[in-house]
Amino acid sequence: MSIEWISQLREIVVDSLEKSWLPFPLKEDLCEGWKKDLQAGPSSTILYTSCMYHIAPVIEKAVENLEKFGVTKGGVMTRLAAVGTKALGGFLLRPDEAEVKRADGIVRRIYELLRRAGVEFGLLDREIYSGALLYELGLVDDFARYARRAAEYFKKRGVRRIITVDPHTQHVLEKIYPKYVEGFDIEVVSYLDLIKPGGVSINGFAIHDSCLYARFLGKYERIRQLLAAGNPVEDPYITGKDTAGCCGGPIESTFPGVAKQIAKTRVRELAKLSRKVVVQCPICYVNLKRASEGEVELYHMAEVLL
Amino acid sequence: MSLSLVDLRKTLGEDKVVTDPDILRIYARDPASFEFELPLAVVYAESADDVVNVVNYAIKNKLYITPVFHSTSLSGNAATVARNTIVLSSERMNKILEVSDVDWLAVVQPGIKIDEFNLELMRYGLQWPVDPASSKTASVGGSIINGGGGVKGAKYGPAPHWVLALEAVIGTGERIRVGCRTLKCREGYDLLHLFVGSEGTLGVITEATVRLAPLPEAFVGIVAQYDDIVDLANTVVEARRRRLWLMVAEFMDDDGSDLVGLGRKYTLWMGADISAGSEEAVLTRLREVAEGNRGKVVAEAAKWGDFFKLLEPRRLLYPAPVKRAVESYGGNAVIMMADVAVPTSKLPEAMREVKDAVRLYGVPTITGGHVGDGNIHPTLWFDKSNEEQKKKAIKLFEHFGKIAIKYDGTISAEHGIGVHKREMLKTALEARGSTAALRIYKEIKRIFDPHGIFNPGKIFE
Amino acid sequence: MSLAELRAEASKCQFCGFCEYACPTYKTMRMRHFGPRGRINLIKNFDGELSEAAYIGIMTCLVCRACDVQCPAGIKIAEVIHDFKAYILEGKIYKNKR
Ligand SMILES: Cc1cc2nc3c(=O)[nH]c(=O)nc-3n(C[C@H](O)[C@H](O)[C@H](O)COP(=O)(O)OP(=O)(O)OC[C@H]3O[C@@H](n4cnc5c(N)ncnc54)[C@H](O)[C@@H]3O)c2cc1C
Repeated sequence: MSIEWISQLREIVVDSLEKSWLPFPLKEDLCEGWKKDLQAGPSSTILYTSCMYHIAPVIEKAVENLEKFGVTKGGVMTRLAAVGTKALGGFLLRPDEAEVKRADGIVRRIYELLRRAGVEFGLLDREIYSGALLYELGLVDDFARYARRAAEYFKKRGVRRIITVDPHTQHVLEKIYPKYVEGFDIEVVSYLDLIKPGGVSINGFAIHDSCLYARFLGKYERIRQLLAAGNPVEDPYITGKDTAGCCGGPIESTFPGVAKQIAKTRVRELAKLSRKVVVQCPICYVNLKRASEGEVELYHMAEVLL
Repeated sequence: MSLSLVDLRKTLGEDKVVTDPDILRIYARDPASFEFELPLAVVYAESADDVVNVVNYAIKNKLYITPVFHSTSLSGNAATVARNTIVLSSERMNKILEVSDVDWLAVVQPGIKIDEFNLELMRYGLQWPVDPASSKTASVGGSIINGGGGVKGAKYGPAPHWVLALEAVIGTGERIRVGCRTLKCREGYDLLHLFVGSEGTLGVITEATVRLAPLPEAFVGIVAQYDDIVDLANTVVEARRRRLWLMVAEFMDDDGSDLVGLGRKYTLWMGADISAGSEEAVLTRLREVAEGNRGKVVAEAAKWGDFFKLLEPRRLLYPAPVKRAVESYGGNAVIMMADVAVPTSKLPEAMREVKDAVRLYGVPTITGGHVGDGNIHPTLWFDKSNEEQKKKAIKLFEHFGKIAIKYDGTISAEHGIGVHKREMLKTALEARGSTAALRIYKEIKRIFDPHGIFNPGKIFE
Repeated sequence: MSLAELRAEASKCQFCGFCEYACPTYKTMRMRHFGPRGRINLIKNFDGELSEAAYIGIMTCLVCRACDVQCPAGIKIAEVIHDFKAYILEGKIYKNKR
């Protein structure tokens, strides 16, 4: 897609982050509902969602529109982008209520798994986005500026340790923040490394690995440990650490058509192994879902861990 | 560019014709080419009809066509060397059209990569046993057209043994089918095998019917090390005398073994496919042969999967020099892999001469290869900005060819002639007193390609 | 990495194409500029301008790192492409837009 679109997208994201700490114009409390009635411990360690599970369905919808209207350069696509920008004045992107409920459920499940493992942690008074998208798109300066703000946000709240729930946030905080934010010394851990392997509620599924977890963060084996009880179907290529295919997610907002084709390739591969597929990342989830058209059933990891 | 290629775009569809200069550059070369011309266009064929259209267009407009699959050829076979050339890519033609587990054959579009193909065949318990070190990238079509071979060659032989039939578009724009679906096929001249080693000069293949083999029931293998190449070669000789039909017999010389972390020894990988249950018996025989020839067995495997892992350092024959060369010369590094073969019995003498030559020329080189079929790959590297070193390297490369000729071997076992070995080919034919062959090649080409459009400058000028 | 460093890293490429083996965009598009070998060579050949098709090839990289382990020359392919994307956007968006 054209450079114009990327600059439009950049404006939307940068503006939104500036105004609301979220990358798109969204209802401010979208990612807060899951915390209702949950106990928050001391907040030097926090469970941090970066709003990822809640944003993902919004992205899914936006990408669908992009794909529908955005195939031609300029034209409708630019209009859509303009809508996005104007949205800051009032119009908000809104996921379906059911999707919000599901996202709430997933994060609450992670909360429970951590509590059960005896991990002590608090919650943020308000979730903010990590800025991962900016970095991943290659908008490095914008990212750096935002990351400094976000780091300040954590610091003000006395955060010393962050527990993440998705690979993008874990990666950007663990590997990228220290490069762009001077003195960033908050410890960043994934919930995967803190919970205890229990059972798995489904059996004979295929694992769709997150590229970041598997190849950037060294969690390939750990994920298998956690899922072993469900007897996942493995294949040396399709689910191999080095060769497992990406879902297309990283380019969904810039080249939605190509992203979807990639997701289709991936779904076809996974379907050879099982109709049930377990994912570890909300972005993988929406991309595979968009391409799957019922060919596979998708489960979030936290939903199947007992 | 005088031609707008408008007609071609109209016939084929916009997305199949790319004229963007940045893209042309990445289709103009293969790993071993230093110089190339920019093509006029890259055209992505998706069917035989597309190919017919491109061929007719080239005839009409007096253009050349250089067909490419994945451009991993090592002799310039897939590089664009003439002006007014269209690069015709078959990389999108990668479908498996049929697999028969009774006839043990498959029909494929030729642009499928060998590993892609074999990963699929695994599900049937079958294999296409042609496994060049480049099998991750190289296509089924490319290995047929170049006549390539691989690690399992000791038993299975190279690609020409594993192709039954081809569909091709020749230089008249006609579609032909050569070979049969049956293993036996005696209908006149063997046109099928004319395409083996044709390097894109006779026509464009659009479909291949290939022979398959069952995956071995079981496998055992050993790795042994030697102080002397003669002992290593004799191990293989004796294995054959003892009627051990090896599936793999690979080696790496002392410099190579050293570079890949195995120590300064000659290393032999040797293994056989067997019936389940006979593992220990065959392992014992392998051990005996190795030790009987002063080899030290350093590793054993009782499964193909395990042996495959043991082969890892052997697969570094190309990667290790690449790594070393870029460390030494950065972006100016060039790797050249020679591809000579001698009868296995002549391997010790030939190897010794290869080592002498390397010492004499002083160009960094390691040697490995398929000792089972006498195919050795002295692999050298140099700094292309250093004219003197470059000259020396090319001379050494040609010298390896002369050694092969001296020991009744061939200057090219599997990579082909391309542009790099045109002179060596002449020398080889002269040495055999067979210069007429070159004339016959040219006449054959004229029959298939009367307008002279296909892959100019390859094999001969 | 700076542009000079990116070019130096990219110029280690020997064109073997092993990196395409597991590349999701290559597998899907089957065009060289949608794979790591193509992208790395576009960067190696970069002369200050990128054509449209080359731009799309670069920008569709998922930075999924399936290529890195395959590379005999040890090029940090994913990182090089990511940083080159950043370089391109820097030039095209920031400089032109502000
Ligand atoms: C690291 C490395 C290791 C290698 N190891 C081996 C090895 O162990 N054994 C071995 O045999 N080779 C080896 N090779 C060489 C190379 O991989 C083989 O020659 C391979 O078969 C080429 O396949 P390709 O798909 O890349 O074809 P290309 O290089 O693209 O093309 C091969 C030839 O076919 C022609 N051609 C392309 N398309 C068509 C078409 N549709 N119809 C007709 N002709 C066409 C081309 O013009 C060219 O002459 C190695 C190469 C590398 C880089």
